[in-house]
Amino acid sequence: MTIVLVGMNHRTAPVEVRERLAFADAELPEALRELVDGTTITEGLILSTCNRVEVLAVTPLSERAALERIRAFLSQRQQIPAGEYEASLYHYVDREAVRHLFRVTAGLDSMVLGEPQIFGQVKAAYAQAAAAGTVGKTLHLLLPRAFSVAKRVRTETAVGTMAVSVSSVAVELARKIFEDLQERTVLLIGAGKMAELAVRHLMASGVRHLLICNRTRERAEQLAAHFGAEALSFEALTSAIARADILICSVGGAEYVVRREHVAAAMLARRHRPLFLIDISVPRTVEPSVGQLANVFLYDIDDLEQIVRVHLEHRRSEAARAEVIVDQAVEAFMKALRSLEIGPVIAAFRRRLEEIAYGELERHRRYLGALTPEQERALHHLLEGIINKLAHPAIARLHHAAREGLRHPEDVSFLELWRDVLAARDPSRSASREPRSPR
Amino acid sequence: MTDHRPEAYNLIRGMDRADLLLLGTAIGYALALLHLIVSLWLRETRFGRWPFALPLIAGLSAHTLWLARAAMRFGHVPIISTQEVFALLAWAILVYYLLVQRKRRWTDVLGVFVLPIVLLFVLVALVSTGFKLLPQELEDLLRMPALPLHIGFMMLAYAGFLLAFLAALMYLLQERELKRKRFGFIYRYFPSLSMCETIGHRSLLFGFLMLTFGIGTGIILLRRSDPVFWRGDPIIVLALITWLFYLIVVHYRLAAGWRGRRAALLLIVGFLATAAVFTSARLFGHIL
Repeated sequence: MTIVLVGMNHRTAPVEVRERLAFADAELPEALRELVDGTTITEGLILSTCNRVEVLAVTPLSERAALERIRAFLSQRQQIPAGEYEASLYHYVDREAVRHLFRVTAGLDSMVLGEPQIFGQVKAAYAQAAAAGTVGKTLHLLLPRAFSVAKRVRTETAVGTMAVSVSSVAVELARKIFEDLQERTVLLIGAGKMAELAVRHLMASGVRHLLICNRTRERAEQLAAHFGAEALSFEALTSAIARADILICSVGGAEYVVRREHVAAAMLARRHRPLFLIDISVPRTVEPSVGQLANVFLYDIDDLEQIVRVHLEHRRSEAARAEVIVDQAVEAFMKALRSLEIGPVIAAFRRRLEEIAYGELERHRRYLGALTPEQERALHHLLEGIINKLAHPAIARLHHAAREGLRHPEDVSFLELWRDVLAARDPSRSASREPRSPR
Repeated sequence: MTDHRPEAYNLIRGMDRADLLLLGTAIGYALALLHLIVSLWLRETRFGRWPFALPLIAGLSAHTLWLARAAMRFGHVPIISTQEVFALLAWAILVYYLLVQRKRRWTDVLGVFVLPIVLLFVLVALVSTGFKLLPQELEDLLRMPALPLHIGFMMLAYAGFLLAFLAALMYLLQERELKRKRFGFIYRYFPSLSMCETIGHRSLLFGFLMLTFGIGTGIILLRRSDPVFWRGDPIIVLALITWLFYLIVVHYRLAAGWRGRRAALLLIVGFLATAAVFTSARLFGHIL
């Protein structure tokens, strides 16, 4: 039995390919049932997000045959000739497939390193597969482990902390200055995509009071209506700064819009409560010397981008620590998986021994005559005792070999030996052996 | 057989037991501090607050026991020997820190500033002498019922000013980082500027209130013990100057809304002044 993972992500495939291969939520149950036919593929899960499409399958086929099968499924299901996406596909088998899944779930394979959304997406994919009935023992063992790895990575490393976008850095800085943003007032001067994004981020973080100042009064009122804010005219700038705690400036033009004297006057009026200015206009429109005033913190777009770079660097160094956690978890899982696989083998082994023992008992029963219940019980105890004592060292060795992997040649030959013993279950072979029994 | 040194023996044994309590106190605080630093460093939160709180509470219990024992043994507030002064001061600081900290996250970096000071004071108490010279008039003073009040107020005032000082220090360090836009340890672990400011502000008000009560009770005490108490005693003058200074700081903060960098600097100066009064009080052999 093999675990195979086939897929593509934002690095290997352009969005045009990814979107054609992606699965909509509604079609997933049907697709899953088509993928998992019970013979060539016994368990399966499909993870489809905007950055990746991945098929995770458990199969008795060989690696090559399994790949063919999954590729055929993708082409047929999504109506794309294999040639159009084959080059973007990657595939992993067994240990590497497990490692890939763990890394993906922990956000280590994401476009934004350490982002947490993927965790929920894998969870949803698992839930959908479970609902469609395509999850069996192996995936039920594997997925919860992937989640606990992701949780460990999140709590034990800082790979998911530290803001890595300009607007989230702005929010983080605001929190560093003001702690709680709920009672704070934001003043937006001008407009622009990035400014709006920053405002959205701030409002999502609890800011409730928003003032909007624009050169054209209509535009200000338009935006204000959109955000549920208060529109102000440019003449009221100083008094607006006095009211605001966070100021986002995003204005076109070559001259400074927010000047030192504006801010100095506003600081007096606001009794020196801290003021956080974010200048995301290029060229800058907040006079740089404003940053020298006491209790004023001025950040321009370069500052914010520099912080983003530093934070990304930090996340990368934390990712190295996360990889260690993933490695450990992969090893632990492979051990658990082998134990899981050895279970049926051991059960079959015991069954075979019992068959032989009770078979012999039945064959010789006629020489024993009528037995009292006590004697009957004693006979059972006798046989069970012999089976247990004979089987115990072999079972222990099987367990050990399963846990530790087949590292020693004698383990391999040992397993092969027992495979032969179990093969004796084959009726034709056991029939041919029986007459040779000395009894 | 008779014991040749029963008295000396008892004394040593008694001291030992007391020192053991103080040693236990130091160990408890050290363990709590160590756990705090390690868990901050490793960002390890899954053990929760107990590995921090347990040794701290154990240490505080031993500490309290030691103080109670010292008080019972000599029948007055343990404030005379160097050992007693440092032990009592450390106790007041820790108690006030726990009051400040109780609603905050236990992983707060504030403890990294406060606990070393508390630990240092306990260690100083541990190595310094319990020897005390007690003139007769002081003996009388020590039995006055208002004295424990006075000392309690003063100790809590010091604790409040110390916390205000530390919060101001944290504010300034962090403000510098935010202005320079180069972020490191401070950015990651310090509470926000606004939180530092709040802790500083509350500690200042608390300290000032305690100082006011402390000076009030002190004056009553001195008047009773010495009718001409006022005569240019440097301690009283210094204490009043400190009080006036803090009065001005409090006034400007409350009325004029001083805050941020300048307010933080004032808190630092104020604390250094208080520390100076405290040290000179010891140097001049006074109790304060």
